[in-house]
Amino acid sequence: MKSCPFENLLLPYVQRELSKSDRFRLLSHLPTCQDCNQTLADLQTVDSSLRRHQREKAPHDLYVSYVEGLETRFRPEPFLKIRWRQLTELAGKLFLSSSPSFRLARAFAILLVGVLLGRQLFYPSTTSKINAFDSQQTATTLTKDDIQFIADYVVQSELLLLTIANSSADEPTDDLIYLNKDIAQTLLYKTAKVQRKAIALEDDVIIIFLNRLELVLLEISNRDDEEIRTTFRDIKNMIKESDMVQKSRRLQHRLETTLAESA
Amino acid sequence: MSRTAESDLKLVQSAKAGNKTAFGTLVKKYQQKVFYLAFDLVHDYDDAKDIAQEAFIKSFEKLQQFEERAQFSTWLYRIAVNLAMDQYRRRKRRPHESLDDNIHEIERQKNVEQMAEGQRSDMELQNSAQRQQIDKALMNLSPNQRAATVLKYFHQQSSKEIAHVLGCSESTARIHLFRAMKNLRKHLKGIQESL
Ligand SMILES: [Zn+2]
Repeated sequence: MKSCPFENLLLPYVQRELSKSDRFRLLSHLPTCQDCNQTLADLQTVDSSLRRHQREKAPHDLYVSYVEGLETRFRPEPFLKIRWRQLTELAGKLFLSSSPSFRLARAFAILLVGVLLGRQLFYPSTTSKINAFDSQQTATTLTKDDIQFIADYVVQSELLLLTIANSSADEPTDDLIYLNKDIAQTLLYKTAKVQRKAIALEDDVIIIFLNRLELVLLEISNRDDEEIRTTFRDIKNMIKESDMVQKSRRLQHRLETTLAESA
Repeated sequence: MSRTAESDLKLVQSAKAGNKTAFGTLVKKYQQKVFYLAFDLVHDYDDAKDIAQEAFIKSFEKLQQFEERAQFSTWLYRIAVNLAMDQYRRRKRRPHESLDDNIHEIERQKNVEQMAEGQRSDMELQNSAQRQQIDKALMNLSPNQRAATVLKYFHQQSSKEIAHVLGCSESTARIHLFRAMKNLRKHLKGIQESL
């Protein structure tokens, strides 16, 4: 069967990849050709089904074991080092610009760097304080590893919350989306474990905070860049209205106290 | 060059110069994408995990051969797609129904669970049936056609990128995609009529 010479324009047309002139040629041809009309209808049906298609989510345990396997084999740069590199790259760009919005963003970048430095200082003291705690662990108390695990999670999530809450624009830049998504995905896989452990702290505010944080992480990591752009303002409001940065500090404070009490 | 490609290139250069953790960072960045690409091609999460792991191991071993004119992501996808196709060829020797049965069994169990939970609406059940139909139709395509389709629709690759991943010309990539779409239409029609 000999096919119509216009046939090869149909798929690019459906996928919105056709140039203006080709689109015009095709649209003039369509009323005269039954075959092309039929093919076009078929392609459009399949195109829209595929666009709507959502795959089955992977079993959580399987995915975690996959990621952990990779982490053992290929150790990534330490988390703070990656953020540091991304932040300095970002800051480097900001310092080159002199527009007012960039100067605001610059102030915010410096704030983040401050947070990072503070945390790096926070870690060593944590480790030394909790040594005495090892001997008295029970099922309901938190072990040294648990506290370290939760502390990592909370400090990293505070960075994310601050990044979003302090961003001056309602539309995030590509840099910001990339940075946020990366952090959110990393954190999301630790969320269930953190929530389980945090029950031992017996603090409802912290539990609610962790649930809300999970929502924020889901909002960011499960969406494509375009969707994040449109929902960014909502996410930002949620963080501000529920005072999440303060609650994150409260949790960090609780972890410190728990360590001090047990020492 | 896009910002992502630019920062990938820096990491690749650093990894080639012997910085192992730079490669670890690339792994972290692409682990999710490669995993789901493998799943889209073989439709089995256990296999997808093996394929994705293997893809990272292979790409690390062959990193010195990676030419920096290309994008790292495309090169990585190509390795993953080739591994998935090998896997598919091996699996083809197994009885063909096993895949369909598997999908049906998983789908059936899930529907039972969903109804037991009493949380799912009719709409969601319908969507689940539709998803199953598309999965089945995709698995009936030739490996090249399936790869072109999932790269285009589930991994947002352009025809040019698909051509690089499949190691063919751009026009061949378009032909794979066109035939895939026509075959999908035929399969989906067939499934709907048999219901
Ligand atoms: Zn025609």
